[in-house]
Amino acid sequence: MSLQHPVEKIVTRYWPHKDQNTLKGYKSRGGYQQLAKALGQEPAAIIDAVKKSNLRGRGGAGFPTGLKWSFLPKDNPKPKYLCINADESEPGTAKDRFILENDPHSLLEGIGIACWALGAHTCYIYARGEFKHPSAVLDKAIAEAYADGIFGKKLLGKDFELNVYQVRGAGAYICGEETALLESLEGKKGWPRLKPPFPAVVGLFGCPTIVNNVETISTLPALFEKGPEWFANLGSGKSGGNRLVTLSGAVNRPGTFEVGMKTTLKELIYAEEYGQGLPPGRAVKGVIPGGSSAPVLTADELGVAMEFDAFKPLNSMAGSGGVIVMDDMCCMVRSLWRVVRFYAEESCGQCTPCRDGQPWMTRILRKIEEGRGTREDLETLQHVATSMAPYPPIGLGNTICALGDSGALAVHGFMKFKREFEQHIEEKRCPFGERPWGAFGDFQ
Amino acid sequence: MSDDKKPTAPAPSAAAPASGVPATAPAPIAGAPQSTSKPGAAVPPPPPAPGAKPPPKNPGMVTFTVDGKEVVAKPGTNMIEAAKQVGVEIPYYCWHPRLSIAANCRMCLVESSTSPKLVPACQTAIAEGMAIKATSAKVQEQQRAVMEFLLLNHPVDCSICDQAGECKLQDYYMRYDHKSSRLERISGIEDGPGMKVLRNKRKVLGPTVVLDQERCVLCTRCVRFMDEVAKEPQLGVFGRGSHERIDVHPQFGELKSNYSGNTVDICPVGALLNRDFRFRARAWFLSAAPSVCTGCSRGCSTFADFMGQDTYRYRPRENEQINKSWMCDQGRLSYKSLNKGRVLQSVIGRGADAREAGRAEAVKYAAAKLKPLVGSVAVAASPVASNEDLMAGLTFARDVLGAKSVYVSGRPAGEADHFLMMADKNPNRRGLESIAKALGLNVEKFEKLSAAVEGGQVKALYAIGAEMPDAGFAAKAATLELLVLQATNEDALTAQAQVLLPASTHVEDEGTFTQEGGITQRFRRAYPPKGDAQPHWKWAVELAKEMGGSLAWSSSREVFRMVAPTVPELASFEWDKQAPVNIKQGISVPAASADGRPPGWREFGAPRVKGI
Repeated sequence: MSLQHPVEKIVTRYWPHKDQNTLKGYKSRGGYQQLAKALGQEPAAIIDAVKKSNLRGRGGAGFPTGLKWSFLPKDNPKPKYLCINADESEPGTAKDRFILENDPHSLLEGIGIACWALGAHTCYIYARGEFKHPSAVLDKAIAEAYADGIFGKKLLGKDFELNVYQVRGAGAYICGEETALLESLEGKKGWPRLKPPFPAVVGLFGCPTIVNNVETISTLPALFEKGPEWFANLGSGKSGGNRLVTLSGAVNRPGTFEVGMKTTLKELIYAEEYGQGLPPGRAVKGVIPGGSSAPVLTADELGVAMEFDAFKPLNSMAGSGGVIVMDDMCCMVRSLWRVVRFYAEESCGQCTPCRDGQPWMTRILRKIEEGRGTREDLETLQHVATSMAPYPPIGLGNTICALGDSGALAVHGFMKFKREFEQHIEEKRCPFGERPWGAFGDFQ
Repeated sequence: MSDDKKPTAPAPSAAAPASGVPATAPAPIAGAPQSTSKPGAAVPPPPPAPGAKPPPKNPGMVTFTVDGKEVVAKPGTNMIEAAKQVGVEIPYYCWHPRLSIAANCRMCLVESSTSPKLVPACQTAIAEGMAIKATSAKVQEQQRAVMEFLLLNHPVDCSICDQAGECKLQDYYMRYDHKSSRLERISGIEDGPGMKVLRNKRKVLGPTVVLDQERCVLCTRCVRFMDEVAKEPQLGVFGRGSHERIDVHPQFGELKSNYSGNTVDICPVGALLNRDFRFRARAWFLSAAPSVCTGCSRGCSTFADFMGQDTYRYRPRENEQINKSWMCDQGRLSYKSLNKGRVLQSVIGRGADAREAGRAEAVKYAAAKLKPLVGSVAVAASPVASNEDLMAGLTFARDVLGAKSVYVSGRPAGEADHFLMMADKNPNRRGLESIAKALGLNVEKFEKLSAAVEGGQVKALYAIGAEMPDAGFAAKAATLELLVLQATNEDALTAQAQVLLPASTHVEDEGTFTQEGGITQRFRRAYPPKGDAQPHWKWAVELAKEMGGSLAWSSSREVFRMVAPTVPELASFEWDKQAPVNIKQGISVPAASADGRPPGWREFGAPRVKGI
């Protein structure tokens, strides 16, 4: 299968060069020139350009980045902060990790541009605790940038102080939620904050703060190189540029790929450049399109483009771009159990519905998978999920942050395969027997 | 419940004429469900206001509706409190008016015209024209769901839980849930216990508080109290998700704070328990009398919870000026002296001659001993006694005993702390000084009396209250020819009295205290005086009568009405109006149940009485 809309690579374009993660290699391909150019412009002009480019947050919610930046109050005398969310822990997602490993300087250059635009003199990169290697690469890149006089008292020679620090998390998924991230940065327990006020007004240490995803910021150098109009045209609708997606599951070629906003899920799974289809004899049963919190899509819904708004009519979401393909040998009850177990484990425990609901759903799912389930259990499961977050549409959750929604949405989504759940109950066993993981199980 | 299916449609039109709301008011309410309940309305719906923002209906105030009833509240009022104004109760666990907002229990979720989601009433700011639905089917379903979540792993051990009877889980279960658990049963046992998550049932947090982690709903009120009010951040939430638990931060080891008892008070469930009160009484048998703590000169407002003629605990009573909603542990435990070590019988004579006597005999004896010494009797008064006691006692001292000055006794000074506790451990020093001054008596330091007794200048002493700042005074008092002592509790000094008259404590009579800030507070009588005890004022009146004086007061109220007008500090205090009236009446305990023991009494190892 060939692509209908060829993709011009932006973020991943220099990844094949092994020296791209060094300052020398990065500079040899035009690195830090966009920062120099941006420092010659007014901050307001940069924010306008980002607005014009239709760049949207790549962390999961797809919020327009330029709009987010413009929420930063102008007249607040407190210092402003930029936080980079590198706490990538959504199951099925591994894109920021490769940016940090392959092209850390694109992130640092983007940080320079963003901080200049926002007037922030300090930037924290909150990296996931398990990112041992990516963190080491990033640390080296930061040290190189300081040594080269890019960061420090003068940003690339301009009289603008910018300090960049990397902070490592301690392995909590919830710290990827922006306000929990801020709490964790402040040295507190990673509990999401009540909103409003939003971080742009009261954020890190009570100061105005912008939290952006790694991919969002590392796109900036390319965006300014080619111009915001070009960037906007590259995408479709209100989503500019390309996206990184991580393809995993029952495909022949799993991995992290750069796709266009017009690329469809089907193309992603079957195209030569991407997934190269499923193993012989297997067919798609369901696809999780954006990390495990996104409601699952069936095989009939794969024509959807990888653009942020395109998933809305299907009551799913583009999320963080973690595409998980499940084939016809994969037990959906088992899969859902695994997904919900993750959320039960990672719930921060602040709100009642999520703290008590996620483990309960896990137990019900285990019961069904082990053949002890009843029809009432299935009803209870849906009832519990609805109590945590009614569906559709997405976004009606009853908890402080969206983690409560995530587990509930997974349950709601998997109800597209209700028949399979009923089969478990009727047969009092898992119909897939000892190997419920489908093609996942084939990879050792 | 009957309008479960269509709760919103008839409500606005029906409510509008009844409550006199102008015809324009119901419009946003009727519009709200349409804009919020549509599935397509994921994005916040545009406000229905056409064009510019309309001016507020009541200038300076916020006007909005709750269940169709119009609420006018000050800007910044909490929605839960605002809804209370029109009689709508929004349930909550984690919210507390004196703590920061956590919004984590999700019990107070309501429907709002400003959001497609349910919003927490505790956190959402009230806004002009907002329409809140606090009892719609959607909200009720959410309340039921939260209750189910909270009770999922709850041990439901109400029968041995001290909180039973004043537990929000119990109350809300009856009102908002009332369903049986859907938790998986232990296999093979159809009606057996659910497979609940087990936790530590007896985690001793510190000297005063014990935690039952299974009952905890993790509202974090206790953590926030220690952080924000006590300013001793010793408690924290540990773990994550369903493994989460409240515990003491490791660097502290144990919860050691003079305010730890308040965490028990604000715990909405039976998780945090006071080790002093644990397993001692069922809440519904306790009556509560509004009272004042006598532990120090702060004079925190309290409830004295009592059953029969025993006080079981103090609880802080809300008082914006003095103690807000809190009290210290030292004051909290000071109730014990009301029950233990009391002087309950008059004693005549000293040492080997001492013998118990009736009230009348004791008064006669004291009067006979005092009469020849009139004019030379020194008078000591304790600032632990109430204003009424002091008014009568000092009037008797001045008019009958011919005293010119009064020596101020009282408890020795102790430690003060950063919040409520004062160094002066006497509740009524201000009252004593102002009364003595008004009666024309010189207020003398206790040291002077101590020296005079030692030097032999003072041979006879009439003392109101046995609390003495000097522990060595009892030995000196042994040299006194006459000591007439009105005492509540036994101590070294009571053994030296020639005439020991049992005085009642503050919970056994009505009266007032004037605390260090000059605020006078009334306290109520909980139960009649124990034993032969009677109030100081009554002893004074009886002594005066016996000695030919003219005091003829029959109640503390009368004492106040007769004397207070002459005391400038107390003249404006309206005794009758300042009475806190919210007395909680416990289920009255019959003298004995069928087996001769009070109800609820269980003796370990004692056989159950057959037939009941």
